[in-house]
Amino acid sequence: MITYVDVVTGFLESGKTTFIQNFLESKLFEEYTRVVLVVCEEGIAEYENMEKYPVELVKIENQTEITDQFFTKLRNDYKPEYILMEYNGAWDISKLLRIKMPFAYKFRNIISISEATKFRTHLFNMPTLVQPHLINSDVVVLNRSQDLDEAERRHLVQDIKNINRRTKAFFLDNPVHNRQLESYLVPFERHDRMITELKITLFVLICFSMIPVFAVSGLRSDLQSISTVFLSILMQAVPFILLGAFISASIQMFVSTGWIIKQFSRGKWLSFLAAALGGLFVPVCDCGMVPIVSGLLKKETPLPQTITFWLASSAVNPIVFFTMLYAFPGQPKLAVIRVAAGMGIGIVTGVVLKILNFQTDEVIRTNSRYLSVGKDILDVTYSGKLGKLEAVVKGAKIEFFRVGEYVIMGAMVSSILQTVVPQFLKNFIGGSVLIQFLVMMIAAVFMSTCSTSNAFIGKSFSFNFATIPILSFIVMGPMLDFKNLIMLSEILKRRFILLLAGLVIIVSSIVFGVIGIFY
Amino acid sequence: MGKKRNVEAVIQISILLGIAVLLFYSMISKKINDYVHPRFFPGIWLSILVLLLFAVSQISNIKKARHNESLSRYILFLIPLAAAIIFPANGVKNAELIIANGNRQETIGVTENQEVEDEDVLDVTEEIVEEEMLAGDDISEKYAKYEVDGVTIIQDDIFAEWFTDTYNSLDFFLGKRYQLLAQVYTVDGFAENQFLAGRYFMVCCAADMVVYGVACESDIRSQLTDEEWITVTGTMSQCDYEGETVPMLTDITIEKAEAPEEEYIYYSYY
Repeated sequence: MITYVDVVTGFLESGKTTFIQNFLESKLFEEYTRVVLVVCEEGIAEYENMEKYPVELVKIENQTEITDQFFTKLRNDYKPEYILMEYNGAWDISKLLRIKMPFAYKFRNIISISEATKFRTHLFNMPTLVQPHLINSDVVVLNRSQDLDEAERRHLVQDIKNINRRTKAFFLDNPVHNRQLESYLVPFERHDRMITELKITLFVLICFSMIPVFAVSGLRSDLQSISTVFLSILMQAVPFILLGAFISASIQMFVSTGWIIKQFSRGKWLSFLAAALGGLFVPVCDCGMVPIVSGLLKKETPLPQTITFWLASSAVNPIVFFTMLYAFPGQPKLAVIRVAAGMGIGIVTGVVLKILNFQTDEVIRTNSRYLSVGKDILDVTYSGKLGKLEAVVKGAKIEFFRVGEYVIMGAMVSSILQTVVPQFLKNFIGGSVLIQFLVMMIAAVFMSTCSTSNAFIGKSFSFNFATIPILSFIVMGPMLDFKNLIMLSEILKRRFILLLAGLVIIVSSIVFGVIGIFY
Repeated sequence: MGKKRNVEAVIQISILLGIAVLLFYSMISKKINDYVHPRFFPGIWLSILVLLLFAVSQISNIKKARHNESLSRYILFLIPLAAAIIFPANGVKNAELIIANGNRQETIGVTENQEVEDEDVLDVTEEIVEEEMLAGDDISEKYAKYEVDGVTIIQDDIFAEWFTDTYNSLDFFLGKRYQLLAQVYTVDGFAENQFLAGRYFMVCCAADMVVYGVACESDIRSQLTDEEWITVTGTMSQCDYEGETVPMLTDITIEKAEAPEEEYIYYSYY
C-alpha cells in the first residue's frame, strides 16, 4: 500500500485549520485509519475534539526540522496509512518536495487555501512567496467568497490557470466544487489522473500509427513541402525571436514603468508620431517585435501608442527601405510610399483606438501582468552585475518558451495555408483593381512573409496585379500575418485582435484608396 | 527513493539542446541551404550559443522539485524536431515533389517599367546611382570581365544581378552570347519549342521561393524533361510574352549538367 501525503498550504489565517477540521469531521474521513497530522504553525483556530479521530498530531516549529529523515521517522514512530500536512505558506515548498521519501510514500495533493477576496492582493504584492505554492498546487481552495460575483470568480480562476493550467480552482461555497474537491481526498487512487496518462499514451500511439500512412500515400510529398516551409519559417525566426526575447526581458526588468509611460504620453498627439518613428527605426523584423510589444504591454504602456508602435515597426524598418529600392529599381517613389503608408496606418489606427478610449488592461489577457518576468519572480543566484545578467538570461528564456509556443502554432498554420493559397489566388488574376486589392489582402493574412523580404514576393505578383494592390500586400502583410496575430494572442485577447485586424483593414483601404487617387 | 527532480526543467533543457543540435547539424551538413538564406547564418550560429546558454542557466533549477507540473505545452516543441527527423530536407530529390505541389509559382521574372520617367530619375537615391550606374551607361559592361571566347559565363554568384539587369535594360544585352547553368521549366503560354531556363531564387527562406529565368528557343526542346539541369549557351534577343517584352536566348546549345551543390540562387540585396 502506498502512503499518501496531502499538503495543505496557505498563509496564516487563510483558513487551513478550519479546512482540515471540516475534513476530519466529514464522512470522507471515516474511511481513514492511522493518520498523522503534521502541523507547521499554530493558527488562531485550534483543532478541537482530536481525541475522536485516529489522528496523531506532530508539531514542527521550524523549516529546518523537515529533513531527509523526517518521513522515515514518522514511518518508524507511527506506521501511518495517510499523512496530512498543514504547511506554512511562507516556507519554501520546493524544499519539502525535494526531501527523500521512504519507499511507497508519495505526495498526492498539494492544496492551497486562500481567502478569495485577498487572493489577488497577495499574488500581486508577494509573487515570490505565493507563486511557488500555486504553481505546485493541484487545487486552490478559495474560501470566504460570498461577496464575489460571477465575473470576479472567473477572473480568479483565470489567474490561477495562468500560473499553472493544470491547477483546479474551487470555491468552498459552490456545492459542485465541493463534490469535486472531495474526489481529491478519497483514500484510493483517483481515476482522472490515470486518464491524462492514458491520453498521452494514446497520442503517442496515434502518432506512430500515422508513420506508415505518410510513407505510402501521396500525402507524404505534401507533408514534405509543408514541413520544409514550416521549418524554414522557424529557423529564420529563431534569431529574431531570441533578440526580441532579450530586449523584452530587459525592458521588463530595468526600465521603470513610469518612465515608459511618461515617454509614451508626452504631448498627447505628438506621441503617436514618436511611436511610429520609434517603430520605423527599430531594426528588428516583425516576429522579433512581438515579444517586445508584449513586454511593453505587460508594463501597461498606453494601448493606442503601443499599437501604433507595433504596426509601424512590423511594416517598416530601415532595411525595408533598401529592399524596396532593390526590388523595384527606378521607382524610389514606391519605397517612400511604403514607409509613409506603414507609419500612416499605424498612426491612424492608434488615434482611432485612442478616440474609442481603449485601455490596456481591458484588452490584455486577464492579468498577463502576473506573467511578467520581473526581478522579483526569478530566483537569481548571483548578485551585482552578474546577477542582472543572469536575470536577463533567465527572463529571456521564459519569454522564448512563452512566445515559442505561438510561433510554432503560427508557422504550422502559415506553412499549410501557403501550399494552398497561391493556387487559390490564381483564380482571381486579371480582375478589377478592387478585386485585386481584396485578393492581396487575403494573401497578406495567409502568406507568412517577413517584412524584409516581402517586397520581392510582391514583385513576383507584378505580372498579374496592379501596383497599388501589390503595395497594400507589402505593407499589410506583416501587420495582418496570421502567424503574427497568433503570436500576439499570447498577450492580447482574441476579440481585440480580431477588432484590430478589422480596423487595420479599414484604415488601410482608406489610406491606399487615397494613394490610388493621387498615384 | 531518490531525490525528486524538476521534470519541467529537464524537459526544457532537452528541448533547448534539441533545437541547438538541430540547428548545429543543419549548419554543419549544409542542409540549412534548403531552408534559409545564407545571410541568416551568423544569426543562427549566435542562436545556437544563446540556446546553450539558456540550457546552462536552467541546470540549477533541476534541484527545485516540482509537483503537478503542466507539461503538455511542451508537446508543441516536439513538432519541429519530429518534422526535421521524419522529413529531412533533401534538396535534390524533393525539389520535384515540391514543385508538383504548385507551392512555388513559376514566373518569368519581372517586367517593371523600364522607361523611367524624367522626374523619377532625379529622385533616384545615391545607392541606386552607384549600383545601377547612370541611365544611359552600358550596364552589360559589368559582365565583360566574365567573357571567355566570346561567351559571357554567368556563374551562380552573379546570376541574380545579371538577371535583374537584363530585364531592366535589355537593350544593352541584345546580341551578346551568355552561358548559364539552369533547370528546364515549362511555362504556360510558351510556344512548343520554347522553355524557361530558370533557377529557384530564395529571398529569405523556403517559404518565399520563386523560379526566375530566361526564355529559350530550341529545336531539341522535346528532348528536355522538366527540372533537368543543363548548361545553356545562347545569344540574347527578345520576345513578346503576354504583352511584355522579355529577354530570350536564341541560337542555343545545350549540354547536360550535374546539379550544383547549392541548388538555389540566394538573392542578396545589401
